[in-house]
Amino acid sequence: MKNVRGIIFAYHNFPELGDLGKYRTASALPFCGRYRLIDFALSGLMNAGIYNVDVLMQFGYQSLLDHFSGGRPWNMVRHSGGLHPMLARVNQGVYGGDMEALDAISTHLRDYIKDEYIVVMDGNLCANLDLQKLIDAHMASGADITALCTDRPMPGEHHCFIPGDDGFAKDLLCRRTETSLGVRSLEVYVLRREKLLDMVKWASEGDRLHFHRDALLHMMRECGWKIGLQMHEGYARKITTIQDYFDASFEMLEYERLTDLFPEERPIATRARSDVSTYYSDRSRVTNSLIADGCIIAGTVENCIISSGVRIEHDVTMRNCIVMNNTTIHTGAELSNIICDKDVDISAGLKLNGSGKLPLVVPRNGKL
Amino acid sequence: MKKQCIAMLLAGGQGSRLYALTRDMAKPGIPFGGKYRIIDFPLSNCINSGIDTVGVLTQYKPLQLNSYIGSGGAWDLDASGGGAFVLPPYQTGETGQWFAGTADAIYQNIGFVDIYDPEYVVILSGDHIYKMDYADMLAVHKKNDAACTIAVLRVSMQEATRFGIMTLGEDGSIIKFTEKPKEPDSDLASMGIYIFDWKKLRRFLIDDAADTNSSHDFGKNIIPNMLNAGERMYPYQFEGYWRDVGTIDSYWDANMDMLSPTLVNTFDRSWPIMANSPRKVPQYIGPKASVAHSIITEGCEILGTVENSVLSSSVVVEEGATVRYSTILPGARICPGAVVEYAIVGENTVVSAGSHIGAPPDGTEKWGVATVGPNLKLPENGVVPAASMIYTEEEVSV
Repeated sequence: MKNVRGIIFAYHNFPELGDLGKYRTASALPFCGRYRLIDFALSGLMNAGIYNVDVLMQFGYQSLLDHFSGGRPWNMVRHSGGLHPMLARVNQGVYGGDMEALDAISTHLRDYIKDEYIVVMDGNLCANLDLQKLIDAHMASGADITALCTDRPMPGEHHCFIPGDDGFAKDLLCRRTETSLGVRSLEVYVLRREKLLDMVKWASEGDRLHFHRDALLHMMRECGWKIGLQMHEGYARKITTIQDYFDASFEMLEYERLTDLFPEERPIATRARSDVSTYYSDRSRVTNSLIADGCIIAGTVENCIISSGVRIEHDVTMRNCIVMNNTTIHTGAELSNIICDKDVDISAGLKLNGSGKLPLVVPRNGKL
Repeated sequence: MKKQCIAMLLAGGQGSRLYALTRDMAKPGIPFGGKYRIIDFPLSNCINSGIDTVGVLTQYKPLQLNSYIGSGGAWDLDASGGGAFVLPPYQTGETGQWFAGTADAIYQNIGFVDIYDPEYVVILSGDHIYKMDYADMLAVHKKNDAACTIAVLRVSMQEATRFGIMTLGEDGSIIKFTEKPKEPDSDLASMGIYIFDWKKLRRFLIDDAADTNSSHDFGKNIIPNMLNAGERMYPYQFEGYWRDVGTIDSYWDANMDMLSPTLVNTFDRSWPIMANSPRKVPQYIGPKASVAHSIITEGCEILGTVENSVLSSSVVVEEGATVRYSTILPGARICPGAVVEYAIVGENTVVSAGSHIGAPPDGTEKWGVATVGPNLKLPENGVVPAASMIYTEEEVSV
């Protein structure tokens, strides 16, 4: 789509991600053995034909910059525009909220880009987005801003909209956990660029850091903005804690959910790896698992999600584990309910058990 | 832009002995070893050897091959000033003609090679599975100050009758080259990989084009003509895995070889074999699946049994289906109760419920691998016996 630009907030880090968030932001979390969470935002834009995208990052962005490979996986290498990493200014403190992050790029938003419409979204949303439908609905309804929401339950805290009789939101309730309150915002919005600039200008005039709690509430209550509500069909999760990550990952072992998140018609693109197919030895026993290419598997693997380049040697038993790139599990080890980060080395015979409610994380480069 | 060395990859072959697989696609474009297509091996060897300019000569059913190669980016062959170029036959003035032979294909593209004004040209074919450092071969070529260097490997004397065979003189140079000799006097077989001094090759190609009796073939014409003219020609001895996959049996064998990672180590990151793979979800292995001694690729959904087999991307093996000692090409579906053994199943073919494809070796001469062509929907409970090759649904007995 011409004249539409994407802005992805990829700077968010969450203390509840523990060691998983030590080297990377939530947007950079590996997912489903193949992807990073930001692939959903980028692919959603790509599938709607939006190729001009700013990605706001502040700290721990190396994983993301590597992953972008210039934007090629999402057709975002362009002579003008394309995928545009926006790193914070050197003297900028930690962003207190999305409005502060937008203010940091306000000159860019006001003077350097020409796009009429902006889609703002988070990089840690796990959902296959139909942004074309969102934008069409926005244009048709005459709303000032349109929110993508879900009417299905979703774990965690969310901003909820209460739909009014005219189809627009009549109220916004911030950070609620109840599932019976209105509809939950996926924090994906479309609006005209001038409207976004109005929000940024108002926010910069005071200590107004937050998109929902400050700017959106103000626009709605004081400026009479009409907030359109568009329902997202299908799976959606926001990943902010280790438990979110663990649960969402295992939900993908239900095949219907997997095909719901990865439908043929809206593919999720990601960085290419020159991997071979995965090799299963004659002693491997693998059930109910998702396995990326480039692995060598000789042990027993049950209910696991295995990223590329992983080696699982013989007589290893793994249950309910998530294993990230290039990790090696040596002979005879027994693991259950463990998240192994990248480049981990689990030595022979080691036994390690977490629990479904308290998964253990082996941090990156860990040697156990 | 001047290059020291470029490669020309002969990818026009029809592959008539693989007919069910090559009816709609040139042989180099056939999927192989799970993730790959045959042409991935020479293309990856080029970039790994530091050759960044490759002309790919296509002729037979090139559509899928052209779109597969695309800009060459999958193999990092998209640098400015070089890259991968698909070179089909073209019209010149009032005439235009198909490539009459391997040498004619290069002759008709002299203009392309001249753009790069190279000192050396590597000639490759698109139907071999191997990993080779052409830079090492080029170093030997330079050291010998040769006009032509031919990669060779040792074969048994029985096999020698199927190859171009070289006899060496005392100084190690090639003194005799015989195409498929009835009584070979050497076990050094040509692998169809040549490095030429471009100026010399250019002259021989022009002379050969004018010769109306020539079949315009490297093995039959150019190499013997250069030898007769007294040019310096040397062998380059190759050690390692190399397979011609021109027949159903050799194609199936080479796929099974991929199950022995020590034979073709594609896991070696220092010499990656790259592919232009579709992006798919990781492979899903279901709760009742059984997978052993196999290669499986992303996008696959395995709910049944897979043993000793090589599965390309997006293959579905449904619950109660069994795949043994087989190669299943991208997008094929094996339905419940079907058994596929010692077989090759083509792209996007549906092996319907209760079908039985292929049979284990019975020790007789007649036995062979069963082949089912692409884009078919076999009838339920259909039987495809060993050694048969099926490329329409009607051929399947129920």
